[in-house]
Amino acid sequence: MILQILVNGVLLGGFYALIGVGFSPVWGVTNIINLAHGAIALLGSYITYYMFQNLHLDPFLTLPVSFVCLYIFGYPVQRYLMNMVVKAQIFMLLILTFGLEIFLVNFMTTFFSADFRSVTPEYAGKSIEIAGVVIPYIRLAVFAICMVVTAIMGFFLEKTWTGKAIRATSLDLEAAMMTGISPKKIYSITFTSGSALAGLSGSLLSLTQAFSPNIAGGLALRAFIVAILGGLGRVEGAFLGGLLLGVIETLSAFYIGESYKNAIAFGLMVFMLIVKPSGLLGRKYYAEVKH
Amino acid sequence: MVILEAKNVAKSYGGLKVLTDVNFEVNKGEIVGIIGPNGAGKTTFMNLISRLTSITGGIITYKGEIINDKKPHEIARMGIARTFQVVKPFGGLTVLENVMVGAFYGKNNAKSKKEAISIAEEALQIVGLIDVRDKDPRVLPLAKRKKLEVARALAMGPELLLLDEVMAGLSVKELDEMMTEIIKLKQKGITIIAIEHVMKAIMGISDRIVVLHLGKKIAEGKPEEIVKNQDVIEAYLGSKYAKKE
Amino acid sequence: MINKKLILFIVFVIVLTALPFVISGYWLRVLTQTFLFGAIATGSNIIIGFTGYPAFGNIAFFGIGAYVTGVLTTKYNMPFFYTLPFCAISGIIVASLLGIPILRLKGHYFAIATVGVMETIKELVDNMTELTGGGPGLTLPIMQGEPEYIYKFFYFIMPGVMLFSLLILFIVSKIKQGYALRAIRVDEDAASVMGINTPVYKTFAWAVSAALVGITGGVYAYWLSYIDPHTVFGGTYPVKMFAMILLGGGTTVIGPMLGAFILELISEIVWSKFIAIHGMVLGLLIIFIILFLPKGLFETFKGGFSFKKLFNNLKENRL
Ligand SMILES: Nc1ncnc2c1ncn2[C@@H]1O[C@H](COP(=O)(O)OP(=O)(O)O)[C@@H](O)[C@H]1O
Ligand SMILES: [Mg+2]
Repeated sequence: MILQILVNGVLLGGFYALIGVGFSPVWGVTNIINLAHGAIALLGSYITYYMFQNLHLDPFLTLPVSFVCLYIFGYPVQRYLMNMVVKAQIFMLLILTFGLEIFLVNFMTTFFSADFRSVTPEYAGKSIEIAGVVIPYIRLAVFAICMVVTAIMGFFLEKTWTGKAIRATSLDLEAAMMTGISPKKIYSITFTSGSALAGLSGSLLSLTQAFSPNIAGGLALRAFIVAILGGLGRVEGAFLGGLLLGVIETLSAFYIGESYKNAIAFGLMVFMLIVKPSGLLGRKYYAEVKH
Repeated sequence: MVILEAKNVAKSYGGLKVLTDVNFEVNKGEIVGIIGPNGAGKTTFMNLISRLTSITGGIITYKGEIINDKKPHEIARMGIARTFQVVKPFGGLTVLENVMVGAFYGKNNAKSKKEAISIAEEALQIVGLIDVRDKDPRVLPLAKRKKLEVARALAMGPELLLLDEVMAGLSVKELDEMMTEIIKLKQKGITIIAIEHVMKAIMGISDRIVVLHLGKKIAEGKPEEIVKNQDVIEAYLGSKYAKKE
Repeated sequence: MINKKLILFIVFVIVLTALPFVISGYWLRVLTQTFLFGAIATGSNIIIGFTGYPAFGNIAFFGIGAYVTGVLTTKYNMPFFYTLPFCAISGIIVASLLGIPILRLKGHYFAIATVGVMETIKELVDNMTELTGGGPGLTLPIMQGEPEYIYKFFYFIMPGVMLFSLLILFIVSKIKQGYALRAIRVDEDAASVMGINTPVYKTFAWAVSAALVGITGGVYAYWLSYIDPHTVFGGTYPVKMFAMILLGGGTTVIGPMLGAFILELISEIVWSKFIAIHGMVLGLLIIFIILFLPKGLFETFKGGFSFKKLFNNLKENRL
């Protein structure tokens, strides 16, 4: 039993890791806590839902579509909204993204309805059993994709020139600018790829649980928890934070009660902020030092 | 009488040692200058006295009491006031109100608004800012904002005044004014530690000079001794210049 | 100058008092709602605008107040008015206990920590079904009397709470402690070396704010006579509250109240016309305020209205 719970937790955690991987670098680099991250992810969920429902496409084939669509969506949002206030006091950005979230959630409610939707291809119920632990194929595939994408993102940030420039910007904007890095470009790449990753994770979400526009806020806060747990802006941190949150949520749902899992997640976040705001793998980022 | 004493004071940020083994004393009524090249650790030392950062090693005593575990506001109430190198005026408050904050919460501890206003006006009088009392400090030129820093500190009613580069960036005329003011403060019985990056200004007013370089005290003495000190010349101008001498 | 303001203010209060005798039930309700937001924004402004701590989740205290009144009137049969001090006290206790650790955080971290607190309390209330009625909500005893009388009762109570908050804010802006808060807002290091015990003052500011917002929550609960966790802890309240404070100007006493009037009346007019897209319009309105009016309406148009000023605001914080 405990093994099954842990496995469920890890599988959920893989998804949270991906949510965090899209969210955390944006915060670390551009100082934007994107409260609309959950709403953007849900746009991806609806892309998958409608392509599956109307075009009868296999949901996994829709992943690149939502990735690309939300990459394109992220560009003007960053360019014409976020960029306009990046130099203002930080809570301005916070309210801006909150305003965007309200807009998107209500947009989805108006046009896609507030009903819970789910994507159920015919293989939805199939699963394998290893040592008494049941693992649905879909969850396994989702987990695998999350891990692969997280790894790619980590590789991108560590090894490529653009990735290195992004990390340099997150550590010290002024110094990065002196070496010829253009913050405009870096901010743009970071935000749009964050948005694309959000879309991807939304598509994957639609495969594992029912969703409605109203879960947007919960998703965004979870992205935040993951970022806080692991440490701002770090892929390996988001990975660790995601798994941790997944396991803690499933464990507390089982031992304390399903209805307490949110209270525990949010309580944990507040506790973490108080005790070690730089995260478990803590290291200071430019955005933090600057406030 | 010794008013402030630093014993083996050290400070490091992570692995970076910013101050090591700094020892010195300040006597009541003195003006002590601290000089040293950029990054020598002068501001950091001042931050340690006002307890804005934690002390890594050693002890600092003020009037015989160890202040290592005190909070910034407790230090202020004990009679230590300071200015900031990067001026920090309270924008949104007028110049007078800025100074009133000092009168309310410093050692003066003004009980009423009337009292705070009269203390603040006196301080503004001393530094010569009384005619801009109702302006927002953000619109003032740098020299005046530096004076505001001093006025705010004065309104606290300090016994020990820490000045962090109040003379940097001033014109020759402004510099003269500031030096005269500092000497006036000394005459009122206030002990002063003045940090300066530029040597010239500080030499004229200090009773004693302490030289910091790379976090270490490399010299201490009367201004006329310091200007002749080989180590100091080397620290400031590089070894090439020192050898030529 | 002071006298002119005072006269304007007295006129404002007289108009408020006279209004219920000329307008209908619907508009009384709209105005009561407006005063509710006026009270929330004004009460929150002590910590947000004066002290400079973006307490995004300050609505937590609104919810706490609402539930204190809700539980005390239903489970303990306490008369409504007696519950209000308890709303204030609960706010003060929670803010003081949390203030010491949380007010050490700055910027984003503080803002989000308060959201975390709000969400945690919401989830707890949601789960304490025996006491609070849980997710389905709690129905309060309905006030006795004619509907017309009840309308007017709340029409006077709600601005009463708002004006009380305004008075507290005014007093805070005048006393010694107010200077400390404003100093903390600009630069905490500078404030602390001038002798201000910053943790204590910040906690004081948050506690006062919590008490006022808590009382507002209590009145709200009795007014609607039905509360549920998802409405009173969050929803669009936090962001609306923030937009109001920004719109009116957080460094002033009266700004947040005016911001509330403007935004809530606009919302109401929009709501009745475009009920389906109300939420979308609210989102756009907030985005508009952040982009074009981050300094607030009054600060921006001090010397008269012009579109150029809007665009200057837009350019100011661009990368
Ligand atoms: N908060 C900090 N974190 C890390 N290093 C710091 C910090 N503050 C100062 N330093 C470093 O300490 C050294 C001394 O700085 P400072 O005391 O400001 O020098 P000075 O005032 O003599 O010019 C510098 O190398 C500076 O980079
Ligand atoms: Mg310095």
